[in-house]
Amino acid sequence: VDYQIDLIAQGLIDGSIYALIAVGMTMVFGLLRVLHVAHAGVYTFGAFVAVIVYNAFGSFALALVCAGLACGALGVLIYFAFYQRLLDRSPEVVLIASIGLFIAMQEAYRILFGANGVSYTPAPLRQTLALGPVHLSAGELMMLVFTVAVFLLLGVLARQTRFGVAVRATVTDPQMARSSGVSVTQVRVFVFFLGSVLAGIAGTFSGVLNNFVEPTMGAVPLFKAMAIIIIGGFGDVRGTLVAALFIGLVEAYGTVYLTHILDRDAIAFAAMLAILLARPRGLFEG
Amino acid sequence: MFMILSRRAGLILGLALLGFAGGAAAAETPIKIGFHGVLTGPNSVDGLNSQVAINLALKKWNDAGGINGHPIEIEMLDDQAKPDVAVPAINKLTGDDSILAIISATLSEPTKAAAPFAQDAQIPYISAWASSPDVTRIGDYIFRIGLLAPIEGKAAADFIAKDLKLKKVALVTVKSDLGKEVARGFKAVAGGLGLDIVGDLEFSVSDRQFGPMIANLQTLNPDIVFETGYYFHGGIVPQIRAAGLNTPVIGMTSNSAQQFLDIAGAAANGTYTLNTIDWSHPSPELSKFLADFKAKTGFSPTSSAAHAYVAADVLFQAIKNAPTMSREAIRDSLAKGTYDTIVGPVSFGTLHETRRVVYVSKIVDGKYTTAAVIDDPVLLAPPEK
Repeated sequence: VDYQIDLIAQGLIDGSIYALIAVGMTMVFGLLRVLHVAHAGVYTFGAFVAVIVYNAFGSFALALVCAGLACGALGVLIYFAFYQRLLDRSPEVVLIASIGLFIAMQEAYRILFGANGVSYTPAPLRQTLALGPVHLSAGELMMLVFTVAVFLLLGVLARQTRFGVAVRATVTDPQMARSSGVSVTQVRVFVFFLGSVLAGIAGTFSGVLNNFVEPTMGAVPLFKAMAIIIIGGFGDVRGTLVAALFIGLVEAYGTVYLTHILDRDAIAFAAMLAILLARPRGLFEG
Repeated sequence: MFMILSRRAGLILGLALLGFAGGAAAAETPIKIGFHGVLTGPNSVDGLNSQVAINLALKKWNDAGGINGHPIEIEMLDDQAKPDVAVPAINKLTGDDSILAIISATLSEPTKAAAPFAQDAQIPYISAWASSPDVTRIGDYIFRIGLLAPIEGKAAADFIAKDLKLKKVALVTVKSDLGKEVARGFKAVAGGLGLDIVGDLEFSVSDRQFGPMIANLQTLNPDIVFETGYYFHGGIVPQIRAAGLNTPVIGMTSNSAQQFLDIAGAAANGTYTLNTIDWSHPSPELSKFLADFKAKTGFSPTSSAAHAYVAADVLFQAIKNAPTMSREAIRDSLAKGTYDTIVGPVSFGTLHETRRVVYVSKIVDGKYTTAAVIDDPVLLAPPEK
């Protein structure tokens, strides 16, 4: 039983990182119908900013704030420099631009920060906490708490604020929203900012838990996030959370029981295919 | 008379000058070596480290007057670890008649693509650290410095059984050719050494979080974990400790890297790693290499860098010992010599695989210290066919 609880905990931890990165992608998809591949580049940027700030000043809180804000700004910059100019083009054009931007970002990180990767010195949040049969590091626990808080706040924001209503209106019908006095650009900038902040925070936690930040670290979470937003029903924040935790759990069990048959990264996609066969529009749509 | 003498003196002087000039020209004719390696792209870390190391070997030899008075030059080409880039690179090198031998510091696939061209052109070709067992089977002009992966596995088994005297081993293997080959070597000798493999777990090269696997590891209750990951999997050690598991851990030579120490942090202390370098008893030349490499790069050399340095050093020694400067004579000289190197004595078997000892390090206060030297020639013997 202890082992099962431990496995579930590990699945939820991995799922939390996936959720934090996927939620930004899913919000952008909901708003613009664009698969924001370069979001994984923003995630990596956050990880680099955090490790550099931490190694310079020794404060994890400062590193987290700087990573979040820097990524928020980068997300807004990406919106204005790329997506806004391409929105009247076909979705394929925007997708290819986003993939190209992601590759360029990875190469830029390699040039700026080196191919060897960077580690936290000394590694923060490594204290071990025993919660019954489960041992978690302080970093893992903090990330779990943070993920829960983020999704609760997003729920409140979406349902109980005027801005949330504006976002939902823009998602449903941008023309109608605009004619009702909603500033569509403002909504889009805000969504890019918020999604990118969360990507930066996901990157920060990922960097701390792995104690390793590398230029290509966004690639695997990107694939997982794509599987998650497909399972969760494109653009659905609640679906994204459930799908991310689901993928984390499937991977945790798959890593133990299917390791000699399926690669861990393939397990997420096998799960995605199985769900799409049963529910072609994802868990929460149709 | 004076005129005759003077003419004769002039002639002699002229001839002497000509001879001197000719002699000087002969002494200064450079010995040219080719190199291809992964210098750009995602796999360039080891290639760039190898390039630094080879340049250090080159500087050492040239500062000491080159080989028999000839300075050494190296033409270095990037193969991006891609077979389709390695082939034009090797063609450029084999097409240059003045190149006497080639060193490569790249992955197995580009090595396997390039080496047949060196074999066809009958140019001695030394792979510094490509891991595929097929490399030296390409032909009799092909040599390798890096240890074959199964030999690393055997050395680890020997250390666990004879030095640590532990019994129950959990294998935690990265799903790459290298990791699986190391595990294969380990399994081949484990039974004979009285080791009991209580778990055979695997993880992906892209994994950085190992929680579920570690949860599984805890249920196996091993005496020691043999983890065959790369340096960037260093997070596995603190994650094992964070899960409350204090079992000893031993890694393969990939863990002999500053990056591994940085990633694993304090959790690395007390763990073991197979090593190319005898950190506790460095020879003066090894000490100089370690210091010079650190001065150039800011970090300590990896196994790949040490292998590349040895590849160049062994090649230069073989050229020096060769009776003539022909490529065939250099190949024969390489094959029959025993070389003093920074990793200890090195010689080649009939397949031209390297024969040498394996060091095991224990990490103490964030530094590698030599825990054992595995030198059983039967256990470490490379394949001969």
